Amino acid sequence: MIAVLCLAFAVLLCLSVPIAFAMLTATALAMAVGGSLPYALIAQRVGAGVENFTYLAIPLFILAGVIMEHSGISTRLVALARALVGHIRGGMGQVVIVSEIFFSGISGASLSDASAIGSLMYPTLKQSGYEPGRAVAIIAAACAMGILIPPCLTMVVLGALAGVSVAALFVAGFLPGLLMALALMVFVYVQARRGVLPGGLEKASWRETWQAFKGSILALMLPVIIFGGILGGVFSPTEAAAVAVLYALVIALFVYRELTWKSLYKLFVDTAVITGAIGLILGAATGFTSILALEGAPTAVGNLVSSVSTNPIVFMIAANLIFIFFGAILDGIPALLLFIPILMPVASSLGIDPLHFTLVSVASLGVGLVIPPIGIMLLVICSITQTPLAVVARAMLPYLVILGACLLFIIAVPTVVLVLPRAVGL
Amino acid sequence: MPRPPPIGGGRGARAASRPRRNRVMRTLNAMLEHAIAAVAAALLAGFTVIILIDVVCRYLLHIAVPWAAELTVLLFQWTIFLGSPLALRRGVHFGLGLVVPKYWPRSDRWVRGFVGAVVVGASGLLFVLAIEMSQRTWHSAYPTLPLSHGVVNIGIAIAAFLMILFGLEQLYRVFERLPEEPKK
Repeated sequence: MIAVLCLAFAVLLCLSVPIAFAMLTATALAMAVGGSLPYALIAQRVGAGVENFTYLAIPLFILAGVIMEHSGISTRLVALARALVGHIRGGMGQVVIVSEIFFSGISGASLSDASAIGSLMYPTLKQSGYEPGRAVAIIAAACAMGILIPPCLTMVVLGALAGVSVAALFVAGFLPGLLMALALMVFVYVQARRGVLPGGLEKASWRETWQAFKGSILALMLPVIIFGGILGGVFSPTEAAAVAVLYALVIALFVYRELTWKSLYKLFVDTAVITGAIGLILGAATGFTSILALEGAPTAVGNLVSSVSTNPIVFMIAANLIFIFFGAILDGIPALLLFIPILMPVASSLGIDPLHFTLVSVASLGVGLVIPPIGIMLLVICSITQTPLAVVARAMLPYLVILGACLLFIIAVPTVVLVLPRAVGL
Repeated sequence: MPRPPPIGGGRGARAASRPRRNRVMRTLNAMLEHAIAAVAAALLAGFTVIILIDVVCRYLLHIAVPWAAELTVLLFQWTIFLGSPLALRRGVHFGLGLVVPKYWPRSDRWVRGFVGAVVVGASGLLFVLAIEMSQRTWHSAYPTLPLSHGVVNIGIAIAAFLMILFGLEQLYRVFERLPEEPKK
């Protein structure tokens, strides 16, 4: 039954069938071959798979992010990043990385961050003398790092799926995210020093920095509200997402006044469409993974892993290679839906902290999303900046090495992930 | 010498009626898409407002709203059920993209036809099973809402029905050799 399920799914995917429909069809075929499970399970799981209050944070964080991005906040955040780090060697490259930290802090959707940063920063990078390939590579690497800066949709899905506190995942993401950002900034600095990238920009005066800070303070308050509310026990991550939507709406409509009611309606519809696409996968994956669980796939994988090595680090590396590979192929979240139910029990049996395992999975998914030639985030940035993939692929390589090294460090040193959540009692 | 216009029946007349048929189908589906989009946006706005009301009632007014969680999840489920057919029509469902035609361009039409057939088939199966599930669950009610659990399955059935319609439109376009609907 598992063989039919996996084979049918793989063949349908390769024949370009959308993931949700490939899962539904493969599940039905496996049931037809197995004959022991009722078909009604498929429809039942589609409904039950999305009957989870935590998942409501998905559309809400998407909505809050797109409202903020369409309210003119993007240019204000970039101005602040430029005032703060623009003068360091590799100036515009540093600005991209710091801007991505700010963007990720207000938006939960990595792909919308990538499109916002890509469209906003690429022309400026080119004007500053960056080669197209290197400019796109810096943007993509920054976006891969940004997935770790909360709020993050992937963390919401993963938290609900693996039974890990979403609030703990949010807090746990900070330090590894900042570590990756620092590593990227150091690399950009070194490249600028060697003359591979242009140097720094003129240093902003205190007055300019203050003006930039004042211009973006309302946007920077959003993460403070979200995390203050969650950590203060005032609201859950889902409720925090709804508050974020309200806050973003008030700023966009009444303070910055750059968003019209008509464009707001379009943002609501677009969010509903993306929610539909993600939600159908969540529902279809529930039925798909139910069969895997009923047929004992997690136990079989566990036995296989134990026969190779019982070293938790070896398992973590292998698991994260799976997430990088399938994250690149399956556009991120579907890879988690498929493999977390199988790998999570194995990780627990090896004594790996669930929070550590889930957060590293998010990080590796981020890396997978910018792997050439299929990483969806890289493709989105290439398409926005109209840069050929062949030009970017080579320039991307050193950044992938840096991201990979950071990933290995996070795997080997769980404290980096666990120290903050433990410090705040999560 | 230019060919005379087709008179009466025959292949020429059928070919001439194709654009009109396609226009009618596109117009109807576009109208349906606009209506579904409006409802989906309203549902999204609805559950956002209910969550906010719940937070305000709980922390500022100290009033419990027991039905809020169940109602918001139900509205979220319906947002998904209406959003997924829209995602299908707009071509934004996640997938590998056209891998086979990339390496074997001549297969493009057949692959698109196969994808359309699988989408329609899977949606048809989902429609039948959701109707069956709604009948089974119709007498089971939510603890805090005066609603049947069957409402969720009705939502799945409606989603499946709409996906059949939009999938058939895609199939029609493939076999009439019409260009793809542009992504929005």
